[in-house]
Amino acid sequence: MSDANYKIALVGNPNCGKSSLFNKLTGLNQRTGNYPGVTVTVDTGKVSNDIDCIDLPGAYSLHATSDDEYILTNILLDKSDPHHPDQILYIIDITQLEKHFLLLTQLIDLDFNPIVVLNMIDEMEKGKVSIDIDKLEKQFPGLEIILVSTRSGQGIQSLRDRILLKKPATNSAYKIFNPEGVEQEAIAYMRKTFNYNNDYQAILCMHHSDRLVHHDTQEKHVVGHWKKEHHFNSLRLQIDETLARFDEFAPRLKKTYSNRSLEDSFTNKADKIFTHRIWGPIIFVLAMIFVFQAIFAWATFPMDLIENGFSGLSSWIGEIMPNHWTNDLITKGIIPGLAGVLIFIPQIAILFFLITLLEEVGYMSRAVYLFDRVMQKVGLNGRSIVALISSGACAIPAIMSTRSISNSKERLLTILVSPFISCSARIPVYAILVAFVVPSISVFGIFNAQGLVFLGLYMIGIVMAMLVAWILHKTFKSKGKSHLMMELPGYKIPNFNNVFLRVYHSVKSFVLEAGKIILIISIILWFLSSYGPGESMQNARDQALIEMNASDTPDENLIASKELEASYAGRIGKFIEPAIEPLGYDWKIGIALFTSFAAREVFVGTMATIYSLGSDDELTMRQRMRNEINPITGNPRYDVPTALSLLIFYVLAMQCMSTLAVVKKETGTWKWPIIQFFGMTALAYLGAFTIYQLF
Amino acid sequence: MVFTTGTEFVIEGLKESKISAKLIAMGILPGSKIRIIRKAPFGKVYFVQVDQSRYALREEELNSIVLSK
Repeated sequence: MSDANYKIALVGNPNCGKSSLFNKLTGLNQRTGNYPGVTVTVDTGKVSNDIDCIDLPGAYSLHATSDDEYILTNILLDKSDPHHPDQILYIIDITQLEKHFLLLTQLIDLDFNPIVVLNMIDEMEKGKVSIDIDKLEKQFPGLEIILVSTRSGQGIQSLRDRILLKKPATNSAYKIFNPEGVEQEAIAYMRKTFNYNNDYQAILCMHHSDRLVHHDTQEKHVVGHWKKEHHFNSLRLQIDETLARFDEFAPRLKKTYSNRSLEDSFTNKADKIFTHRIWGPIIFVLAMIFVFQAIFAWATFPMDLIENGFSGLSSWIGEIMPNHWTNDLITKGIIPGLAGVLIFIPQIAILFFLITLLEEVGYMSRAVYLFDRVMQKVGLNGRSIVALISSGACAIPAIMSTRSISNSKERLLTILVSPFISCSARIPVYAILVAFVVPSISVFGIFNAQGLVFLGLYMIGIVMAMLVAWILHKTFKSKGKSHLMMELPGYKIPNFNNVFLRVYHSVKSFVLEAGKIILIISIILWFLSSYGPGESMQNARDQALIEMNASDTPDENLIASKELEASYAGRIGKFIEPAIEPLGYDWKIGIALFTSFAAREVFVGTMATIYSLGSDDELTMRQRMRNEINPITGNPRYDVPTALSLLIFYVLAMQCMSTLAVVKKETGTWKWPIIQFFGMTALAYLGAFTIYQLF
Repeated sequence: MVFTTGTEFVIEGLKESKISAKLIAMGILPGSKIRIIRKAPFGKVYFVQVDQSRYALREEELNSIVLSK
């Protein structure tokens, strides 16, 4: 975004169709950026080369109550803010015309002269809503009105043409704000002290002085003092002002339109089932089972393609390139690193597709309604359910989805506990280890014992997420009051343009943000496991060759295993051995633990290298691990306590650099990812220790 | 106050609280009728209808509205 560009901002209530319009106007040309100092993001895009479009957070009123609403208020009140618009497009869903007028009248009082975009005009054709535009223009003189439908695309081209003119909207003569008594004194004081040139701007800055970004601490203190001295009852004045607005515009509006949109029998009928006290939760659980089945069933094929493609590429490059360390770097560092990023794209894309679909049709708000009470008990919000569901595939999109939670404490708690939910990267680890805990036998004739252990591991994750949320909830003080107060919009046919854009942007953001980290870490890991101090690598190689002097063909796998032991990674494994011994692990497991701090699924590959196996085939690996003997006890290394202890460690530990990077991005500080990393890892250590010592 | 499913109340006013301020901004206004459509499975949260809109409200949020039958 450039300062010199003409800036239009989209403003409107939640569910007014703002994001759909943003997608229609900017298409693939958008970017999500962090708003400095706060955790909510503002999306920007381009309508043309020199016109920026800003999608501001949805709000009901400029009297903000949540963090995202304060972003809107702050941007509009501060002319020097980089997002402060030259022109506002105010979007109204005509089926909610009356409610959506409140914020519009506030913008007019701030002298913004918004262009009013009446959305959903296809509802007019269906006869559910009727508006007399001539009368509307007479009742509200000077309003510039454009009719569109973000669903059918009607009117979008004329709106775009209007934007490209860069011409300010006509002056609206319709003002409501009429200050009285203490309000007049406050305005006079604010105008004099801070040079505000608009009465409504002055009073808003008085009401929200504590949360203004453009006032410093000293100024906040001075205004706070004035409020106390003059018995300025901010809450009462805000309520009265809002009521006065409705009293003024609602009768005028009633003369211009009629609305029967709630007689929408489909939504009412569907809600009888989807929000039913018994059927509602059952349908939710079934829907979630379907989502996860879909992720695993549909993603396997593209994931195999990516994996095979990359391993093919790696061996092809390995053959054509000269035998040099750069060959190793590319085939063992960069290519596996890239594959490690891209392999997750199918799962993330499918998950985002299904979740966005559920949101688009209006189902997610029903899930929030169903589970708000349960979530509240542990300090989360009903809205957290969306993130917790997503974590079942991957914590990264889950953490990004918490942006819809307005209470900052509830949002933070959701971000902190989401990684406890077992993600898809843990599955290969569980699959290897579970065989050492129980054999694949059936229990009560219908259940598979290993399946039950799998289920148990998922349950431990869910229970820990709830438990930790509850403990943190009792520990932290909350800044704002928690609330639900949510509109339940009618069910509608999804807008696939929105769905695909959302999937595209999520995948792109994952590849760019998380991808960088994964790639860097895998290059570092490659270095640590390919090099050792001094001559140690060469010595290890010679040692391996001596050991296999009997056989004629050199065993590359044995050499690789010896080299890994001598490498920096091997040394790190040996170094941490005393610390992990009480958990039942040796230095070999230590290397795998260490490498999987970058990403859990690296465990399997590392184990394959340590036990000098050419492939990471599950069966071969399990067989080799079964033969491994603990030199001290003489028993198998992977006995039940060790395997259980490892499983618990992988359920609880924070072993994902990409997640930490996203937590940093979303919370705006390194504090939370650091706390999360050490907290979860300590918990994993304690859990694994307890399990190992008990058995 | 007991919010039985199916009952309709008239909104007499709103108490002076942050919740009320938000409810008013969301279009829950004195003089309107509010209908309790259903109660959430785990209780304390209600599916209500006011004019042409549906809302999910917690019990404490409903309690910040002054209601009469």
